[in-house]
Order: sequence, then C-alpha cells, then structure tokens
Amino acid sequence: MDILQNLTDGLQVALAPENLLFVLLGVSVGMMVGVLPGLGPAPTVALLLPITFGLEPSTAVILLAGVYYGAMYGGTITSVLLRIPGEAASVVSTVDGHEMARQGQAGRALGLAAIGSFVGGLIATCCLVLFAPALADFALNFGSPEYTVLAFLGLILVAYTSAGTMIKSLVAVGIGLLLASIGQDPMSGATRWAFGVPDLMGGIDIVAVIMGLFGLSEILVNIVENRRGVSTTNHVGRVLPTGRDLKENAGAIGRGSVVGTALGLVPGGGGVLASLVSYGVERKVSRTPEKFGHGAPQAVSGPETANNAASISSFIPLLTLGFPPNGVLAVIFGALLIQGVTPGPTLIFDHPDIFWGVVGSMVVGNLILLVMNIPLLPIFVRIAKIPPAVMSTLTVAILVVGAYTINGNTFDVGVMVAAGLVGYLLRSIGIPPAPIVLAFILGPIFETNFRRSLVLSDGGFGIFASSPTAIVLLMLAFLVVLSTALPLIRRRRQTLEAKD
Amino acid sequence: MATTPADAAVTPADLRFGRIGFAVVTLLAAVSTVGAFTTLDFGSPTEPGPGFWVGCISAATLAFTLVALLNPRVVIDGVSRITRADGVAVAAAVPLLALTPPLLTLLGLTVTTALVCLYWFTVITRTAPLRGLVGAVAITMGIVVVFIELLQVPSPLGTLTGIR
Amino acid sequence: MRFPTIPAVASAGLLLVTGCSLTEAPASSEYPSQSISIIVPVPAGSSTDLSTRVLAPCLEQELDATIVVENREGGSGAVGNGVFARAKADGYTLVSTTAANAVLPPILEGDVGYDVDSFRPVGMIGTAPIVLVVPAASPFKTAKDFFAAAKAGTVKLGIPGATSVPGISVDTLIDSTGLGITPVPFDGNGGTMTAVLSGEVQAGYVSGDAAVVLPRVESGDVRVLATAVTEPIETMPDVPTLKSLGYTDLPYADSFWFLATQPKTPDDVVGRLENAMKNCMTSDKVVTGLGKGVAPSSFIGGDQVATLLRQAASDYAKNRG
Repeated sequence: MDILQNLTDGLQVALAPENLLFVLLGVSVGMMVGVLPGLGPAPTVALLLPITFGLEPSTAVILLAGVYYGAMYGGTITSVLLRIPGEAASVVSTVDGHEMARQGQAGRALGLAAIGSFVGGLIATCCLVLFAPALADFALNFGSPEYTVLAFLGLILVAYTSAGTMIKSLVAVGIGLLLASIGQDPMSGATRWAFGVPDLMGGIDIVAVIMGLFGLSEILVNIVENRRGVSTTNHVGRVLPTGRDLKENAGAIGRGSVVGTALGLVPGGGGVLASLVSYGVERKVSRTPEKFGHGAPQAVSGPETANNAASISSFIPLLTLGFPPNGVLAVIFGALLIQGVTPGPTLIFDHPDIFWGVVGSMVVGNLILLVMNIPLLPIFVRIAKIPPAVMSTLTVAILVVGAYTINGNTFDVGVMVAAGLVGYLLRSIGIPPAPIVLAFILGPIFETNFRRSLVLSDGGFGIFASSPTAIVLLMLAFLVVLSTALPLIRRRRQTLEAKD
Repeated sequence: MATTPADAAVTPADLRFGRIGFAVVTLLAAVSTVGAFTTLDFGSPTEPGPGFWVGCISAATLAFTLVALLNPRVVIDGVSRITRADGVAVAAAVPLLALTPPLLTLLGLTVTTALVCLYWFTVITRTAPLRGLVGAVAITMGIVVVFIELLQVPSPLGTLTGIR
Repeated sequence: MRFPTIPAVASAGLLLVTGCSLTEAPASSEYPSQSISIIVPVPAGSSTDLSTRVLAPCLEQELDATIVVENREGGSGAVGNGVFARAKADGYTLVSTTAANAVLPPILEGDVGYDVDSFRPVGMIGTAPIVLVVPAASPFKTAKDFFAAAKAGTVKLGIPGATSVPGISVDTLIDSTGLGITPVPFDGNGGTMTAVLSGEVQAGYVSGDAAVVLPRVESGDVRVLATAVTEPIETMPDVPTLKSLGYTDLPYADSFWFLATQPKTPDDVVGRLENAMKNCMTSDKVVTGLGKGVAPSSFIGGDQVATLLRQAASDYAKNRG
C-alpha cells in the first residue's frame, strides 16, 4: 500500500508540466545521441550537466535519466540499419539485427526491440520499486573474487557465442585482450605497450575502437558495392510486430528483462555485459541456435530488452547506496551533489520526491519512447533508403567527427582509423570484430580483480570459491564449457564409431 | 561449429590468402609474447606482475593462431579474399584516413569534414564531381549544425584556417 | 518531432552558461577578448571536474567572458596536461588539475611533454586531505589499534590506485617502517570505499573527497583514524595526524587541485585571473557549491600553490624516481 501511495506521488511529480517537458526533452536528446554513433550517453549527460544547475534536483535527474535510457532505444536503430552500434550497449544487435535488415525485416527487428525495451524498462522500474534495497545489498556484497569469476564467465560466453569456428573466436578474444592491456597496469602502475607515447599511457579508447572495428571496417568491406547510386537494400517491412512475433519473442524479452535488471546492478558491467549475456542465454535456450548470427529475432529482442533494463536498474546502487555503477550514473551523481543532495541510503527517506519522481519519470519516459518509436520508425528507417554512396560518405564523416568528440582529441581519430583498417584485414581472414570488442571490455575487469583477489588471499586460489555467489558463477562457467565440449566429444565419438 | 564443407566455393587462392593472413597474425602474436616476457615483469602465478596476464594471453593467442595456421579447415573458415578492385579502392582510402588526424588540427573540423566528404564522394564512390561537391557541402553543413551549433562539442580550431 | 527540442536544450544551455553574454560584445579589447577554455584532464563527473564546473560560472561573471570546461582525459592526466602545456601562453587555455596529475606522470613515465615547471598556478580550487578510514564495526578504534595490528601481522589496506597519492604515500610508509601492511589498489575512491564498507579490506587510505568519502564519515559508516597532513584538519580537529603518531618523513600527502596557466603567460593576464579567482573562491555561492571541507578557508594564491606543488614534486621524485 505504501509503495502504491509512493508510486502515485512519484507519477504526480513526473507528470508535473515542467517535469513532463524535461522527460520529453531527455528522451528525445537521448534517442538522437543513441542514433548518432560516437557521442555516447555519458558525454552527452556531461554536456547537459550545466543546464541542470538551475533545475530542481528531481527535474535534473529526470532529464539526465531520460537521456540515458533514450539512448538505449536510439542505439538499436543505427545498429540494425547501418551495422554501427549507435552506442556500445547495442553492439550485439549489429549482428542479427543488421542481418534481419538485409533480409528486409528491419522494421520487425526495430519494432521487437522497442517493445522489448519498453517491457524491460517497466520490469526494471518495478524492481527498482520493489527490490531496490535488497538487490543493492546483494550487489554490494560482490567483491573482487566474484568480479573475477563473473568476468571469466563473460569471456567464456564471448568465445562461445560468436559465429564461426571457435578457434577464430578465441584468436579474436586474444586480440581484444591484448589491445585492452595497452596503457597503465591498474595494479602496479607500470606502463605496458605505450612506447613513450602519452596518449597510449591511459590505454586506447573503447569507443574509438568500436567505431573503427564496426563502423569503418564495414564501410571498407563494402567499398566497391557502395559505388551504387541507388539503394537496393532494406525493405523495412512492417514495424508493428504480429501476434505470433510477440509470442515467439515473449520468452526472450522476459529473460532479457531479468538478465538486464540483474546485471545493471553490477558496477562496470551495465548495458554491454547485459546485452552480451542475454545473447548468450538466448542462443543457449533456442531450439534453432544455428539461426543466431543470421538474423534470429530473439538475438535482437533479448539483448535490446536487457540493455534498457540494465540502464534503469543501474540507478538502484546510486539511489540506495550512493555508488554510481557506470560513467553516466557518475555524472548524475555529480548533478545531485551540485544540488546539495548526497546520494546514499537516506535518499529515499530524505528526498522521496527525487527517488519516486525518477521512478515515475521512467514509466512516463519509456511510454513516450515506445509511442515515439513505433510511429516514427519510418522516419529513422528512411535513413536506410539513402543511396549507398551518400550513406557511406556520411558515415565516414560522422565517424571522423564522432571519434574526435569522444575526448576532443585527434589521437582517438587515429585509433578509430587504425582499428578500422585492422578490423577490415582481420575480417578478410575470417576473424570477427564482436569478440574483440567484448574481450576488450571484459579483459581489464578480469585481470584487475584476479590480481586483487590474490593480493587479498595472499596468493591462495581458494578465494575464487569462497562465497556462494562465486561458487554459483563458477559452476555456471563450468556448465558453459561443458555444454560446448560435450557436442564436440560426441561428434568425435560418432566419427570414430563410423570409422569402425 | 567448424561447418566449413570442403566444397567448390573454396579455392586454393582463398586458402593461400587465409594462410598468409594468419601467418602475419601469428608473427604479431609471437612478437607480443616475446615482448611481454622480455620487457614486462612476469611475477609468479600467486603474485602476478604486470606481465603475467599479458604473457598468458599473448602465449594463448599464439597457440590459437598456430592451431588455425596448421589446420586448413579452420584457416579457410569465413575467409573472404580481398579482390583486386577492393584492394585498389581501400588503398585509395588509406592516405585520406591516415591524414585525417593532422588535418583536423591544421584545418579545423568544418574544412576537414568537407574535404573528407569530397574525397570520399569523388574518389572512393566515384560520384560525379558536381554531385559530390553538393553532397559534401550538405553533409558538412549538417554536421556543423548538429555537432558544433546544437551539441556544442569541443571542436579543434584549425591552426591554419582559424575556424572550427 | 525531435528537432524542435534540440535548439531548446542548446539555447537553454547557452543562456545558463553564458548568462546571455552572447548578445553583448566584449567590453574592451583587453583580456579576455574571446572565450577561455579550462582543460580538465580527468573524466566528467570526477571531483576535479565537478568543482571546476562550480567555479566556471563565477569566473565568467568576474571576467565577462565565456568559459568552456573541456574534459581531456587519459594517461592519469598526462593527455590533458600535455595539451595544456603545448597551448599558446595567452591566458585562453587554462588547466584545472590535481597536483598528482601535474607532477606524477613526468616522474613515472619520463617525457610526457610537460613537467612541474609547465604550470604557473593561479589559485587553489579545492583540497582533500588524505585520511585513514575503517568501517564503523571495525575492531580498530584508534590509530594505535591499527598500527599495533600492522606491527603484529598483516593488515590489508585499500588504496585508490597504485600510483595515486595515497598509494605512493603508503609505499613510503611501509618502506620506512617495515609495517605489515599490504596495499590493495582499487578503482578510485569509490571502489576503495565499497571495499572498506563491505569488509573486503580492513581499512582504506584515501583522499577525503566531498563526493564519496566525507559523506560516509558524516553518516558514521566509516571512522577516520588518522590524517596524513601535518596539521590537523579544521573539520576534524580531534583526529591525529600521522606525524603526531610518530610517522615522519612521509612524502607530501595531501590532494589538491588548482587553476594554472602556462609559465610564459603575461603577468597582467595572470593577475587578472588571480583577482577573479580570489573573488570567486571567497564567494558564498562557490564555497557552498564546492562543499564542506573542500574549498580552502581563505584564498590560496598562485605563489603559495606553486610552493606546495614543488614540494610535492620533489617528495614524489625522491620516493619513486
């Protein structure tokens, strides 16, 4: 009853004319930066920070939150139509989503992603309301060993979920891990592979790498085809999913909501990890896993649901414990501090208008995004009907400008170009770009926590099975390895038996 | 997963292409392995130093590339040979892409974007010069409006041109 | 549908940031006659970034110029500080950096394109004293308990990074005393405090920033056992300093960040900036915005900051060089 009362109050805050305006503003800006590659949600939220100084604290958070989850919706559109992730959490959709677009089902992919995102957003918001304190308690108990095992599980899933031969995926994972090891070693402070170049000492920027590996290499792969003046691709098809579509994707959306909500709580994981794990889960439960990588709708609806759910549930650690789990939330944290509000366990009691107002705005904002998305999709989709020559030139221009805007540094443009050329060459010999990027993100999490755990345990490996959470995660990793190895063994035995 | 049937699509040229490519990757992995073990502090498994992780992943990557190199079924999987037409077009794009970072510093965002677009239209996509010029101006204006005017992203002031 | 809202955001931002200065021509042709950019070499949302953004609107009013805060992160501050050091010394490219980011990269990495002499400080923006904290439930009630345990065995001490100021300071402490302390690097102050609160480490040695650490101290979640500064902190008069506990000869361990120009900047420009800074750093609005215990109680000018900076540089060079 209390919760209902609070939620009603929260909706009232969110529906106040000023707040309604800023929800609309936030999600529109978010949607736009989501569609534009390069300028991710974190820099945008930082750019908007000065505007919030003059606003009420609740309005400020409502605006910035809207940008964040708005970007999750927008990113899908670029991933599906152009095979460039509009923002990092939509990387997974560049595979099956774009494949669907090639098959003339772009509308279907985007419609399912929008509905999934909406459902995931609502479910995550419900969790925010119901379980915020308890769930955050759980995430707080994650220590270094748990992160080590979680990142290990993630890396296994990367190699496991990629298309093509396992060996080539493993080579791709290795390349991603090596690229991520450039820069300062977080544990000892020693510099690796920097060759005295200051720009390399902080490591190379993940967004620049993503833009090069996915965006530029895609342009280079199609460099000759793109000379056509007239578009032949992308019959968008109907956007509103059929009843059958919804039925077939209900499971994926449901599982994506759960995975996303859970992983959004994990600091450092967020939308990217959520969408990746969701993809792995969907592929595993699918009765037709061979369709994954070739335009399986569940490979889009699941991960897209998960990243939106994660973007919303990532507010839980901030609003209940005062710990921002990712860059965007760190900026929102700062916005609250400037308002004189210290996020922490007392926030819900001291400033109920902020907590419940933000919760209310998430319901309203997701509704706006869904409503905006389905009827307005044809406008976004029109991008796909621009002639390839124009589209490829526009993409190159946006990649150059976008890479520059990441940190305002021409070095990142160089990283983007290098990653694009290397990605092009690797793709020509069958090494896929997705595992490189995902390993790039997971590698440092694994290494840092692995070494930190060993410092904590004075070199004892028992620490990795020292808590129930770690044991459960380890067993999951073991099961994934086993389920990969078993069919191989069985196949080999069959071949042997056939020979006898 | 290794479902590459040795059917008609696979040509000796593809196999050679894949092998040359993997030989290069193997060489790089070997260099990285040697570099990790010689320049970085390895530590020990219970007290890993900065080189431990790099050494492990370099060696593992080297092992995987060697397996791929020695196994024709693996090395051929997913190979799409770069054709002569592709190679020529990409080679034409490389100088432009390599010059972009210094151009941004020298000419500023607007002029560089316009140049990149013009080059890409006329040289890479072989659009007619006039149409390419119109397209380049239109795209540049769009980018300037969105990035510089509306989003106010930091953009370089060209040291030669004095404009953004 | 989308586009009408974007000009709204942009213009709202412009109005708030510039205080309508776009519609007015600069008052004179003297400095400042164009917009000033302040480079922040750390990510948006960090405490240096936030306090710079609190200061910027006040400086805009004082100087009657548009100020753009630009984040140029990377390389523990080496990238942004390098950009600053290479910029023209005309007062239009300033930097807001911590002493650690200004001093450490050239010591640890060699040639990064700048060194401590590349900064001509204009004034102190904020300070964060280094504090030794334990969770509320810790058996260590006082600093003596902590150091007794460290002498007897091994204490796991969370630090916000191996090459952070607390990290270097702890290394020196261990080297000089042989105490049984194992430093465990975490991801910044936030990560260290999480580890302290969850009990993953027994104590934390962090800079007492207003964003993460001080609120936890105020709420009683953590207890401050000691501070590293040589003089007790105003807001924590009862907490002993490491020096008073008998640990002397430690490197300068106090996190501070400041506004600086290039050394060759004309004196009148620096003077104008220092005046504006002084007015801002003593205005209630800025002091409140920076937070309790962050803004210095009285304005600390460029020369004093320069002295502190050089002291920090020589200490770190001695301990890590």
